[in-house]
Amino acid sequence: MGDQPENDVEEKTMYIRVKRKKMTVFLQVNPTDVVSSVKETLAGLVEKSSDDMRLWSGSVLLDENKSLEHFGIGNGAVLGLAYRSDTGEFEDVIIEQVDN
Amino acid sequence: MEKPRETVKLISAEGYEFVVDYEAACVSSTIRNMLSSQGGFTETERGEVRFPEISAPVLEKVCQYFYYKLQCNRSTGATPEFHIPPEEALELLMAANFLDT
Repeated sequence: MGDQPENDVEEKTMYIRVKRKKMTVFLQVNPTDVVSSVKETLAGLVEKSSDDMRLWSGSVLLDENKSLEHFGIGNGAVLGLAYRSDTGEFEDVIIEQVDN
Repeated sequence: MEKPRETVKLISAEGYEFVVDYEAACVSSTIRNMLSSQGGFTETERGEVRFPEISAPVLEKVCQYFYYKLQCNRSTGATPEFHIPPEEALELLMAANFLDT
């Protein structure tokens, strides 16, 4: 399939939450979606290149070409997002918690 | 040329940002009305709505509810449960009332 996937809505079966510091992005995805396509979607939203971001599920760094279900990521799961800093190194995943 | 996804940013009292699909945000008639207003409000231009009276955990739960609702609308089988911890229930109820959700 050579075509660029459109942004129109095919039925996605689940959502995930991608968090970085004080931001949470809700994304509709399928378990069979691969990590690289999730990063592309995020890249469009946060205006960062997907090369400059990493996705983590807890302490597991998600590989580009594997699917979400490969990592056991299900409906409502929280993923951590880290950006590449100006030094070229990736920051640590930091997710701010609200103090109640 | 990439068209950005139709997303909306909801901002809690503490300044936490929640980015959701436009379709999800419109589960709330209040938000839908804010976003579709013709008056050229900031909300319409930037697709951002602030909720200074709603805390982040509650706003996050509200967002989760939006997606739960979308999934229910689509599925024809049994609806999954939407679990609300009792300590969040009151604030969630007030937020839901305000958001007409």
